[in-house]
Amino acid sequence: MSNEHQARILMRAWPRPDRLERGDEIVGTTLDLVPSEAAHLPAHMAVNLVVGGLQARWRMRPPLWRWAWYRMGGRLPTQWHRWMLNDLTAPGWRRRMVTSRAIGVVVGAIIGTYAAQIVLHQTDGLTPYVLLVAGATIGGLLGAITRSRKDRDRQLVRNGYCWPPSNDPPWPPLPAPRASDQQPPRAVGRRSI
Amino acid sequence: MRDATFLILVALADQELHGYGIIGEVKALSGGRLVLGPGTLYGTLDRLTEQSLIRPTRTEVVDGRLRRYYGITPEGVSAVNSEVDDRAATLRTATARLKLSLPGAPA
Repeated sequence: MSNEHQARILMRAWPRPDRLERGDEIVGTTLDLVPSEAAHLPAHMAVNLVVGGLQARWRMRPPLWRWAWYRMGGRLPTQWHRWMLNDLTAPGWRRRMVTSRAIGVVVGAIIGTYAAQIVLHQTDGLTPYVLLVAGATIGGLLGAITRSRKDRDRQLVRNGYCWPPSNDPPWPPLPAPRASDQQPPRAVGRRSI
Repeated sequence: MRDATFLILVALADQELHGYGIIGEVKALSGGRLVLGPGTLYGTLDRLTEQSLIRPTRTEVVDGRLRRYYGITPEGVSAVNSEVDDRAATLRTATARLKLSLPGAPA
């Protein structure tokens, strides 16, 4: 296995947008640092590359409470949009969306079950509650799978992106430029990816 | 400001450099004490770019390897000047205290 191949495998630790935008640059610098006669990347360099990638992933992600809000359909501030666009459009978006929805459904069902037990003062006979949790999980999963594309599109639009991307003029249409305008008109409405 | 960040800004103060060039310059500036790995380098470059202290200027391909050059911005020059002043003040204070506390220290 060549050094370049090894470096590209280790680059999998980096977020996908970084790999696309600057993967060749990082791999090139890594190879510059390795003596040409070396059979493989030095261990310390391999570790540094992986740790750097994991740190880049960590920096790119929103904090937990913003992530939870986003998973419930909320908007994210602009600084996390790079992560969001990758989350919603990169391969595996459906798996991520369904998994997070499923976790939400299970957690909600468990909390609901305990709340029902407390309210009803009933602690015996767990079967109805187990059935409730199982039913909620299956129902939530089916709902998440069938609605995933629509949810994805809605989430993108909610955060200010036009989806699916098109070459049509931005909506609403830009006002016609006036002769007195000194500056070009600012784009209003939704952004295209 | 961490040493790596400071030395990267100093390395870029008077020239544009690519990743490998920055690593070599930082090593020279630190007298060989600090050798950046690619992960550390690009993480730091990301942060500095986000803070608008440096910016990518151009790219070129050498021997089939992509090289992106980075240059310091006016904000970066201000930041590194401020850091130099802080470090110089700390050194002056430390030197003065050592002169007082160590009998064998040079006057």
